[in-house]
Amino acid sequence: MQFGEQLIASGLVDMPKTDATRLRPVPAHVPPELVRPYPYVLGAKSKVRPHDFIADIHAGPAIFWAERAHSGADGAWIPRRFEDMQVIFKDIEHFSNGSIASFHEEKSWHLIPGEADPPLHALYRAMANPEFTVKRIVVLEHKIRDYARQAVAGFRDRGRCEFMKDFAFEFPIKVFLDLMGLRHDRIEEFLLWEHNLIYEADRGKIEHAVAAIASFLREEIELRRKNPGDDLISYGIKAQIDGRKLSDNELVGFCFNLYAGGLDTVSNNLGWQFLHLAERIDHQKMLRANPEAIPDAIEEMLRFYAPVTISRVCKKDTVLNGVSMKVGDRVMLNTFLAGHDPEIYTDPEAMIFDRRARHLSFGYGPHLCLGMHLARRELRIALEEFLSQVPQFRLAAQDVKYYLGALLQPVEFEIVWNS
Amino acid sequence: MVQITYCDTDGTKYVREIPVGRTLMECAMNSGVPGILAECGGSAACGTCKVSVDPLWRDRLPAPSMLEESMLEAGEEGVIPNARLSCQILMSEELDGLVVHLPGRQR
Repeated sequence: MQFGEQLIASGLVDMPKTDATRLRPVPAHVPPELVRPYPYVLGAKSKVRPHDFIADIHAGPAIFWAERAHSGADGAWIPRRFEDMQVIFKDIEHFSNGSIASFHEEKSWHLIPGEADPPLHALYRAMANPEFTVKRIVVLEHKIRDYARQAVAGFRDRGRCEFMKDFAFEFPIKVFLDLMGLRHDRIEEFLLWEHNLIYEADRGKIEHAVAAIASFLREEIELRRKNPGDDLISYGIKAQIDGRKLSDNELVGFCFNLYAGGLDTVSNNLGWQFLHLAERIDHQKMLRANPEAIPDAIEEMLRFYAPVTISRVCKKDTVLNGVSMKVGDRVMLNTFLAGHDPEIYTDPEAMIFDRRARHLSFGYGPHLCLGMHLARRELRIALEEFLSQVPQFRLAAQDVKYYLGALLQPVEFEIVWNS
Repeated sequence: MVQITYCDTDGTKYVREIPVGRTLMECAMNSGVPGILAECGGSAACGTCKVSVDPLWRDRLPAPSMLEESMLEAGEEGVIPNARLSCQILMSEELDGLVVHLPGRQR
């Protein structure tokens, strides 16, 4: 019995129920020996860390087929090696970004630039890039710092917090709302949509969230047409690509991409990094004593806890590492597996803050994360502010559970300190 | 082969021979020139392979594409004069002797 079956049988991983009629058979061109168990499935909740499956996966074939790997229902190829993922990330001839968003299937709009292929993709990136440079992000630094401080001030004197809710989600959403020029009075609703969009295997909830977000964004776009401001929605309205303005559907896709890309990813990384420091007091002490080591430590934690799996669709038959991929096959690029590839990293399961190694946690190739510089800045400011204002903290209880889907995340955890 | 000189902020000069058809970024990454991160691997998507082109050479390089142009805004350290993405500069015979300066910090 392999790890997947063993762990599921043991009750340590709670796999989502899936409507059997939605499951598609394994395609005929997939060799049966390459069909393998895979735990990182939308809606799966685990009592053990995502790390516990890594050794088994990296002992297996370089590329394998996993049922339910995409949106909890569809099968997909899983390349487990760093270098194969690099090849796919860069191979825009054979792999498309069209319909990479797992959260809805039929739609009048696409994520921009996330779901765009050449030649449109470069036009969209060229439009968006200037708003996400380091220079632009530095201007936001004081505001980001204020929001981190406000969030900490909300619980510091209590001597405890539930980190995911009280900080990991609370803090980045305010930065996002400001960037988009959105008021802060609907945060609860926003966070619920976000949760239903990304962690629930329930199609109804996902579709409801998508519709609610898109209709909210359409209203905001209308408002901004009448009253433009210094925000990304207004920027999108003014922007030109190839001598024309963006259509309404393109604007929705652009704003939705910022929403989907900018919120959870920062929250997930914050969750993992603070969970790590709550458990590894030695590492926490080290960063408190050497705040200048924080940027390198963040890079290593980005590698070790890379939460994102992103997909591609094969658009032209190809052979990779001896595996035949056919048009329409989905490929899941699990950056967490890349970060633990034993052929790339010496002792990949060790956290070495000054490792200074490359990672694929922001992706690779033309679709590399647009918000990478902003994300790094938010993560750094969060650590700096939290460590300077909260004394040594530790995990309150050991019973942490983890989401194992396309975004790995500790579901929730309490940390405590002497207030 | 054409000759390229990468000048580091501390005055060190890295003189390298590059085959025609390779990029300035690839040569730096493959031959131990420090300070080029190239996080996206050469797709003009990260802006972490910037170099400052020597003024004498600026106008002899093909103009940047619109995508490259959108990535050239300075990083935290301020303006990089004559900034280019080294991943977008393909070596040709005409560029033999090119001199570029490393910015010291890429992000």
